Amino acid sequence: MRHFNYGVTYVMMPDRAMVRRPFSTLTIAKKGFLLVALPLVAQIVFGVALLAASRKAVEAHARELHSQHVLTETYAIKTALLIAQGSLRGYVLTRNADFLTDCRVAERDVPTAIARLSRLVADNALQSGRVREMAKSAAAVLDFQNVNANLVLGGRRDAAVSLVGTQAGKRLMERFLVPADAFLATEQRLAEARHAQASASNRMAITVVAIGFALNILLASGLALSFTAGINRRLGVLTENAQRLAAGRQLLPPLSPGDEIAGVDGVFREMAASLTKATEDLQHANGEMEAFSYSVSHDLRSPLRAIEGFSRILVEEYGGTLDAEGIRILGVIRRNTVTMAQLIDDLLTFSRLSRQQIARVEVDMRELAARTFAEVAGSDEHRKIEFVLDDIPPAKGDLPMLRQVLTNLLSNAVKFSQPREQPRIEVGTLKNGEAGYFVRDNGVGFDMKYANKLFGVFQRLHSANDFSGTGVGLAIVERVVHRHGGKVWADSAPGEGATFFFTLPESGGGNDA
Amino acid sequence: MRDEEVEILLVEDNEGDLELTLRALKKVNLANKVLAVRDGAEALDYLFAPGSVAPRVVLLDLKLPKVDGTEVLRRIKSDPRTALVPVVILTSSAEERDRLATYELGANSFIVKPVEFDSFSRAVTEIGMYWMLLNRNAS
Repeated sequence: MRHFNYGVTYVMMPDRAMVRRPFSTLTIAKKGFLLVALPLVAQIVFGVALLAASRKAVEAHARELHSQHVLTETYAIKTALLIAQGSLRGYVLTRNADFLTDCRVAERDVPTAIARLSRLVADNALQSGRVREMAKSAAAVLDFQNVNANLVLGGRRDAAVSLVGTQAGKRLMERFLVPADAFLATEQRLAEARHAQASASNRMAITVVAIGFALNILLASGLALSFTAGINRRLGVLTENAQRLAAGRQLLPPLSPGDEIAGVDGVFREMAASLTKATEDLQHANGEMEAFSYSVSHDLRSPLRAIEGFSRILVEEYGGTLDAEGIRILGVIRRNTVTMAQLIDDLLTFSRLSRQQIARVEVDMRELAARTFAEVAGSDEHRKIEFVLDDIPPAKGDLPMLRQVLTNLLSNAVKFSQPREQPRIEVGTLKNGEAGYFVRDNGVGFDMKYANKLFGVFQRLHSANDFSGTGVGLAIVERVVHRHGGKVWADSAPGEGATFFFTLPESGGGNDA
Repeated sequence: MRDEEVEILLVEDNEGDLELTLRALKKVNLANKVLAVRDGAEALDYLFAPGSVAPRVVLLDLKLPKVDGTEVLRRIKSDPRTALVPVVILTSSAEERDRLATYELGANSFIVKPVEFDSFSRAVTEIGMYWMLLNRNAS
């Protein structure tokens, strides 16, 4: 008998349930929610950081562009003035009016360009001051050029040439160039600084993207791993416990409470405990039943032996003082006593077969049938039986129990075919592919309308006067076959013989009744 | 009977069985050397009394008052003074576990008492004849 003992005691461990472990004590549903929600929140945080970084980069780029714009504008002014100066000299030399075009363009464009430049650097006091100087000196340069041009137009070319010769124009131009170059140098440095800032902002944005991406992957995969590992570990405890329960071993310590798996674990433990209780009750009942059977087998037979024995002694020693009827009555007493003893034996066998554990081994059914037949047909009067033993396959079952089945079926076959001129008994295997056997005789048979009574305890289909027997044999057959997970049935007609079939499935679960 | 030599110690609590056994032994003239005791304690008292001579065979029932047959067998077989005395279990019970347990303790025979008087009588006389006449003991 396997002893079950689970769920009642556990190996005590440091009280793990009391240790606060926030994540592991959440329900699976909450853990699942966090698994999705936490990376999402992190994503939002990184998104905001990225937005800030890229806005900074865009601003830096705008400032850099602004500086470039200022530089371009300034170079344009400077170039226009210098071209105008050169063209004026050309005009003074050649009096070709084409040269004046550049001067007119400078006169028209330079003041407006300087006004635009002034607006562009309005936020910078130093540069604004320089622009004002540039405006004044540029106006002076343009005035000087105008005066010169007018001299030539007025026919006083000599005066214009000598005016050029005074180098006053060159000095005026230098007064423009000094603040303009200082302005350009400052703006150039500013542009370079802003370019560096824009590049740094770009790099920052890229770094934010990279770090955010990496952290998010780490967070999501870390959470997923811890989630699945935690669930796997706890599910593993359930699986292990189920195996332990099946093997009758002690269960693992309970899971820390909080989630659905701990709930299942708790229910499983309750189940195991009630199963233990039920098994113990059953063992107790079995024990009582066994003690009862033991008493029956021991104590009920002694009085029977006394009744039988003393009746016999009465006949032997006092037969002379009894008449024939008295001796017949004593005979009746003795026969009934023997029947009673047989009944007790059969009932005990029946009860034992119900309680005994089945030990499945490979059983050579052909050899077992041959030997059993030799035993039940052993006495001389049965030698005339024709015994046909087909090529039957081996079975997986409890050897003593299967021997009991064949003994009962074959002794029935012998008994009920005895009145036949040529008794014939056949043992064969089922033809429908099921793992099963049959025992067929050509005996007196029975009416199938009583077939439902065949396998009941103490049920007999023939009167005791015609055939002996206690009516337990087929009940034993049925019990053994059922306990092997098989079924048993019969086919017969009065006077036509009877066939008893039974199956023994390979892996029959057994109906332990 | 104590003064005479006891050759068969019969341990049996049931009146009927006792009388039937003695009758069967009488048929083969073995009844005069039998000492019958009614429970396990009496059997042990007899066997281990100072100066007692070991019987040639013990016929032992299993279900006995006070000390049961299995315990009597264990004591007999574990004591050097009696370990070699043949013990025949003569019981009503056909329980397999009794048979295995007593053989493991060193029982020399295990006989299930038949209910039919003829078979019973034959069994008892054969036991008596075998152990008293055919068998040669170790001591």
